[in-house]
Amino acid sequence: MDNQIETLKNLWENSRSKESGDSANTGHIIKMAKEKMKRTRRMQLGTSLILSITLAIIALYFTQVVQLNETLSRIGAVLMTGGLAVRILIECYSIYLSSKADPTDSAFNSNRATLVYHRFRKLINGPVTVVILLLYSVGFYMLTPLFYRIFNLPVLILIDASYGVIAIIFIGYIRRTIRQEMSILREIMQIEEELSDPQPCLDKEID
Amino acid sequence: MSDNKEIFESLYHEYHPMVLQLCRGYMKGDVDLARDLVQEVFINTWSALQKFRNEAAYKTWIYRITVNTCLNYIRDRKNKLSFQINEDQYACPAEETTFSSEKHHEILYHAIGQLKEVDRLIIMMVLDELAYEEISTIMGMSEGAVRVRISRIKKKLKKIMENG
Repeated sequence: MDNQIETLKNLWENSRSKESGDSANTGHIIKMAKEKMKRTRRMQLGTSLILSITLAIIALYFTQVVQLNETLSRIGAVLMTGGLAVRILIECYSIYLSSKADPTDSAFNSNRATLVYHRFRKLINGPVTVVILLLYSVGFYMLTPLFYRIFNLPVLILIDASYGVIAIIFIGYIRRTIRQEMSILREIMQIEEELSDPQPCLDKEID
Repeated sequence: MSDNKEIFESLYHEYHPMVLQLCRGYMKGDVDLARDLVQEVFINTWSALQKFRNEAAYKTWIYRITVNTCLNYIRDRKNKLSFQINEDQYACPAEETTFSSEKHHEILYHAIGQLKEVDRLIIMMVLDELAYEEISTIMGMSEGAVRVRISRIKKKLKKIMENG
């Protein structure tokens, strides 16, 4: 067995490039690293920002534009804004979790942190988002009597029907996201399994 | 920032061949994919440089980043399509000329490429003559587990090389 490893070692030593890294590339790499950091920050903050703006618009509409006199409308408004607020908090926690995967940590720890993050993403992109969407939709339809006072019937039907279509498209998006997260999770779990300690009863195997 | 830039340049200069070889082994000998991966390793190195606290030698630290970047790379490429590598801007030295005896390299990378991802990384560290203790620190496995794992990998490699 040692002969084969020695052969491989020789091949390995001979295959190493004799050229050291060209320092001219470092400037470009630094630029790319900075761009990547910016892009990551934009992506992380993007969702929270869009949700926050939506929440602010809805809250302003309910407090400044329309009068929520009926209990039904008030509950509807709370369900809509509350669901969005919860989703924003979850996004913030998700950003915190993603920062835990440190590429300078050991492979096991780094992979474990990535696993925790993607398990969380699967949970929030799946059941949590479905529940929030459900509550948001219930809240939206609870506001129908309020909208009826503002809009005429054809417009109201159009609003309710459009919401239904958007919700169906969103459900399709959720399903696709969950499938993606499941595929990522499977890969991370496979690496975790590979990184786990082998059975310790194999002393005779050790060279 | 200027200090970091100097450190980064010296790290890039010193460890580029080591990282390229590891990445090439991980990518089963594919030079183009290996170059992309090397670039990603050094992007991560620059991003992490501010956090370096002298708790480990630079070599071990770079190894950790390389191993983690390798393990994440294929998954990330599949899922982060927005991250495009601009080949024209990245002027890599003509490594083809330095990789002589392609036939031998094929044998080497073919053998390593038959192993699972983690095993591939571990055996490359063995070929690089890292101590078991260092490998266990980089991988986050116990030293005993590393010994057992290496023994198994060697057996697998023996079979692979015997079967051609």
